[in-house]
Amino acid sequence: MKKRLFSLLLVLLLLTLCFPAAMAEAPAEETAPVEETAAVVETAAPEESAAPAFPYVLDQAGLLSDSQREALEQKAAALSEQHQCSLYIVTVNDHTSLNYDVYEATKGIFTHYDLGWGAEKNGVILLLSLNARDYAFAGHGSSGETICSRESSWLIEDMFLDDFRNNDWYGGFEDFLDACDTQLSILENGEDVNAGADIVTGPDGLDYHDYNNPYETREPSILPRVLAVIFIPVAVALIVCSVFKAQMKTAREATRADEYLVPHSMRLRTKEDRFTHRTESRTLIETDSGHRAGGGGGSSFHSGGGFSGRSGKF
Amino acid sequence: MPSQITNYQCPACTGPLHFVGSSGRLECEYCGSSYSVQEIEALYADKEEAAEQAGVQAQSAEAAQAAEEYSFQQGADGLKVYSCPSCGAELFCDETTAATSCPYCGNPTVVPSQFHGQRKPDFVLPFKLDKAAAVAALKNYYKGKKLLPRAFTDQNHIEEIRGVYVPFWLFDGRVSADIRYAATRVRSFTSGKYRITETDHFDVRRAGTLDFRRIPADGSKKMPDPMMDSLEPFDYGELKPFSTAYLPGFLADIYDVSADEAAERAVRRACSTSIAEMNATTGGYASCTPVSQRVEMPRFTAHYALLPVWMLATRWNDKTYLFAMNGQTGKLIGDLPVSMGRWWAWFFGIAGPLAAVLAAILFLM
Repeated sequence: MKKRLFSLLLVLLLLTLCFPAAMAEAPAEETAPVEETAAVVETAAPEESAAPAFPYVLDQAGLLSDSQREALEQKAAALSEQHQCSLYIVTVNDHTSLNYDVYEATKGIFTHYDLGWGAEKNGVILLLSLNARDYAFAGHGSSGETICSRESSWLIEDMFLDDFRNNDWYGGFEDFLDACDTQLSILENGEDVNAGADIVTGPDGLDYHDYNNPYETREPSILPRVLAVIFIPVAVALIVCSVFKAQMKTAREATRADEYLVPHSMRLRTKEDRFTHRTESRTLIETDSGHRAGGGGGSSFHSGGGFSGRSGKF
Repeated sequence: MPSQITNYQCPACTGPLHFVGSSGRLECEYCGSSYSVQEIEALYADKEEAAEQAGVQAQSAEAAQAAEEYSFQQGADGLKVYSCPSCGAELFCDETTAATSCPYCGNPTVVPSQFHGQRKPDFVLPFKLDKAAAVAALKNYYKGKKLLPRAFTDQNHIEEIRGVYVPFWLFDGRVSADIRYAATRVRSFTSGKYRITETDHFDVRRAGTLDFRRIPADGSKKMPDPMMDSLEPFDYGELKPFSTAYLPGFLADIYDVSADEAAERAVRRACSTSIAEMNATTGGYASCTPVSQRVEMPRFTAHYALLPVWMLATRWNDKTYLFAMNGQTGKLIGDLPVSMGRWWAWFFGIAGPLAAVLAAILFLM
C-alpha cells in the first residue's frame, strides 16, 4: 500500500513538476490516467541500445540554461554508455509534498521509472530539491552501489557540494558526473574506490571530514614539503642578510622631531567626535560540529534495499 | 695693520694653545699650562677685536691692497688667503672657514671676522671627546659588522681625522595642526542564527598647537644632511654662549645655508611629529583615517650654534669612506662597504643547514 501510494505521488509530482514540456507536446495525454502515464514511461524504460525515455538530466527547478542542460545530457549519456552505468540528474523545486525524505524520494524515482543500465539496473541518480536545499544521490546495481559506498560516496559528494553551496549548479552537476566517472574508472581498473576518504562520524550520526586524522591510504603530495624546504630557509637567510646589510648603512635623514617637542606643550583647541551614522551587517552563523571546515554541514550515508547513497543539505 | 687671524698662544711659553674637551680648558702642549676659557677671552679680547676689524675692513675693500705681511685676497675659485701670524705661511681657506690650523707650523688659528655681526653664533657646544676617542670609536664601529670585508679592517687606515665645529640652526617654533579623521567603532553580537556587526561612523576633528624647541638642521653645504641628522641628539644643556676661545685646535665653518633654507627640513620634521601626536589623541576607535589636514609652523625662531663633530675619512679600494662622530656623545655613524662574498657565505651558511634540518624533519620524521 505504501509503495503504491508512493508511486502515485511520484507520478503526480513528476506530472505536475517535471514534464510540463512533454505535456505541452502531447496535450491528449493530459487527462490520461495516472497509472497509464506511468505505464507509458515504464514501457519506454531504457534498453541498452535505445535512447532512454527518462532523460539523464531533468531540470524541473530551472537551474540550467538549455545549452547547459543539453551539454550535461550528452556528457551523462556518454559516460553512462562508457561505464554501462546510467548517471541521472534531477532537480525539483520542492520534494517535501511527498512526505518522504530526499533520499527516499531519490530511490523512489529510480525504482519507479525503472532506471539504470541493463538488466542489473546499474546507475546513480542525483536529486536536488531547491527550496529546502536538500540533496541526495543513490547508486543501484553492482557498479552504482559500489561507488556509492560510505567512503566512495563521500569522495563523490566532496567534488560537487562546494559548487552547490555557491549556487554553481552547472559546475556542481559537471563535478558530479566527473566524480562518478573517476570512481567508476577506478572500479573498472580493479583499484580501491574507497581510498582517500577522510571521514569520521560525528556525535549527531552524520559524516564529517576528519581533519584530525587524515587519510593514510593516499600519500600526501610532497610538493608543499619541497617548497617549504626551499623557500623557508631562503626567506630566513634573506631576512638575516638584510639585517646585516642594514647595519652597514647608518646615515639616514631624520623625518621626525620627537626629541624636540616641549613636554606637555600640546594644547588641543578642538576635540570633536561626532557620530554620523551606523551601518549593520549580518552573517549567517554556520553550524560548527568541530569536524568539518569550510562552513558545510555533515551528510548521512544510507544503505539497503539494493541502494546505497548519501543525503544532506547544501 | 693688525692680522685678520688670531693665534692662541700660551702666555707662559708662546706655544700653541688647544681647547681640550675633557678638561674644558685651553692647554699648552709644550709647557703644560692650562687656562680657562674666560682667562683666554680676557687676554685675547683686544687682539681678537683688532683682527675682526681688520678682517671686516679687508672684506669691505676687497680690491684694496692689504698690508704686505697680512694680505687678504679673494681667489677666483672662492678661496681666501690668509697669512699665518706665527710663521708667515699662506693659508688657503674656503669662504666658510672660521677656524683652522697652519699646515706648516701647526698653530691653531681663528678668523674672528668670520663671526662678525649676524654671522656670530649664539651658542657653541664644546668638544668633550678627543681624537683618540674618535679613533677608538671607529675601530669599535667595525666590530660585529658581519658583511664588512676583512681586508677593509686589515688594510684600511684613517686617512684624515678632523674635529669640526659644524654650523647648525636650532629652530624654536609652534606647530598649528587641524586634522579631520573618519573613524569607526565596531560592535559584534549574536542574534538568533546571525552574527550582527554594527559599525558606528564618526567625524573626528583635532586642532591645536605643539611647541618645539631647538630642532637642529645643519647649515653647512659641505656636510651631508643624513649624516648630520644621524648624529643627533646633542645635549643642549651644555651649550655655552659663543666664544672663539672654544675653537683653537679644531676646524670651524660658518653657515652657508641660510636659516630660511634650513627651516624647511626642521618644519617638515616638526609637522610629522605633530601629526603623530594628534593621531595619538584619537584612541578608542577600531579605525581612524585622516581625511584632511592642515599642519604648519607659521613662525619660528632660529638660533645659530656650532656643534662638535669629529669627521674621519678612510680610503679603501680607491674609494673614500666618510664617518662622523658626535663630539659630545660619541655616537658614530657612516656607511661601510659590503663584501658580497661574505653576503653569499652568510646566505648559504644559514639557508643550507636550515634546509637540511627542515628536510630531515619533513621527510624523515
